[in-house]
Amino acid sequence: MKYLKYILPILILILLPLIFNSPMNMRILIEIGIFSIIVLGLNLLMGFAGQISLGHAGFFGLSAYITGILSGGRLPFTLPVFFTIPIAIILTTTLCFLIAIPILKLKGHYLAMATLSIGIIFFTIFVNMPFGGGFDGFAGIPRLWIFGEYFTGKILKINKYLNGYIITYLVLVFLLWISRNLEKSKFGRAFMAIHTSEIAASTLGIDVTRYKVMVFTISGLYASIAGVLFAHFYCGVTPGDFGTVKSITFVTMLVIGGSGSVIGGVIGTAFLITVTYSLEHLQDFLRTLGVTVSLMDYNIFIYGFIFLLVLIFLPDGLTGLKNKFEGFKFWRERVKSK
Amino acid sequence: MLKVNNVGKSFGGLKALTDLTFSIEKNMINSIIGPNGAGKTTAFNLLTGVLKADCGEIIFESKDLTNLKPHKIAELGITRTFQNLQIFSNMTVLENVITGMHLRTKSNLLHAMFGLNKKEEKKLKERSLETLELLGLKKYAFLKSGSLPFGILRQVEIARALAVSPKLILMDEPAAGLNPFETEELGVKIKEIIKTGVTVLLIEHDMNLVMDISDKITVLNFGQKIACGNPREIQKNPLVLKAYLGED
Repeated sequence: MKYLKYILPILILILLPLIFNSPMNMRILIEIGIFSIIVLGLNLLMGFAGQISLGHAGFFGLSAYITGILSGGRLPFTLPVFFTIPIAIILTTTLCFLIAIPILKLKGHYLAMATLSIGIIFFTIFVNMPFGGGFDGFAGIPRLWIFGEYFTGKILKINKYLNGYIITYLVLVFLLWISRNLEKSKFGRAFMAIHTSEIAASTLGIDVTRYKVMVFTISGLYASIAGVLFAHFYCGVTPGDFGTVKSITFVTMLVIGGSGSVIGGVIGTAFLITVTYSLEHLQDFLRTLGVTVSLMDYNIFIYGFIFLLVLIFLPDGLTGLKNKFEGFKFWRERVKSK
Repeated sequence: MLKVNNVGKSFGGLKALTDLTFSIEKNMINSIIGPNGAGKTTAFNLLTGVLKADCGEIIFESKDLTNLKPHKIAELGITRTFQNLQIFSNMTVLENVITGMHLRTKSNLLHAMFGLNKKEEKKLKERSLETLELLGLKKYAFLKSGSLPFGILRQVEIARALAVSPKLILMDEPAAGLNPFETEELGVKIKEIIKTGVTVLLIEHDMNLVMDISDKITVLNFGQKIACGNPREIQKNPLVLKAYLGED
């Protein structure tokens, strides 16, 4: 029983690609994995340290664009993937650090506005970037294979979807583990202390500015890792993938899953993406009944509706359900004992 | 131990402190009292670096604190509790106290990321439990601090401040909101804290508590020191009586 909480997730991760093995479903699983990585980073920033960011899609996109341009044959020279990935991650994280220093002097709504505008600035840069392909972006970014394309594809007979799934979820599990470790360390506690009271944190010897910059940079690192995976599995980028709506979607995913809970981010991401694609199925189903509606156009409306429901009924997100359930059990036992 | 020399602080046109000079003696319970608006909390905020003094200097063990940031002052060994509680309500009581041990940790970010800090964490936990035991709070250790009553949280804040292992601990109205029984208990605990080699500076309105436990009292009125001495001297001081009761 003790190891159940380790075995169960691993079992799920192994079974998922076996059950949902159609290309479409595999794409959805990879999308959940990649977005979960960003939401994990966002959880460190928002859930732990209480600093909002509405511009994370910017960092996500920047690293995707850097690695894409360097490796995708857009320049006179082409670098191998194993060079471009570290370059993209390091450059994006450094930029994130440099942005964090001035921007984290702001608090609350002002910080939200500032990060929002950073997201918009990045979007404008993506559209106008030299070699970036404008609004249409570009394709032709090489795919990332676990053991090289030939060995993985021809000898191990792992198709491109399973290959993407394995890499994404290995990275996700690794980063999940790192988040968990951080949560239980002095850094996690310092972040949570800053969340509730900056003054109290500083009188305990916590350097508030330093820790805020640190958590922003770490969450930028998560976003840049996700961006690299995105570029090399979708093999193309467009500015639309990294717009402001994406940033807000990430925040929605986090809140729905449970801000402040490490696993909550993953649950929220999986939930929201599943809902989105279920709409597509529902739409197809309705068409067979002779009703033609484009439910995908109401996507944002439905996000907003779910967001509202969660804020009203589940302020702790889906992971908060567990506490509610325990509270219910406690209540039922008390009623019984009477 | 700590000397405040000619410190002044004004907020716009309001002079909260003018030319304040006082000192704190080591291993004693020092108290600051004064009517509302006398500048007691402002003095605390200056000592802990939350606010910056306009003029004057604050010397702690021959180091100048005047322009240091709060976390640097904490590193020198001064910490505080708050009049309006600043408990980390998203953590358990134990985690609150462990957070107080921040300065005693040596692990860096990489250690933390890869879980190489287990030994240190275990040690921190043990020492935090010891601190909680000293204040008789061990039974609350694993409860969420958001769900606990006010009186307990006041003591948790003291425990958290003690966890910093400070040389000087500033307590801003620790008895506010406590009933007489709890206040008496608090007095006993503060005396116990002194025995561990920590110096206490207390702001308090509960005169029974102040007169009962203080070794040295400084009286402020309108941002200035009007008296200083042991409880008996203060009770007889005509300036103090005038400040509290008015003239006839």
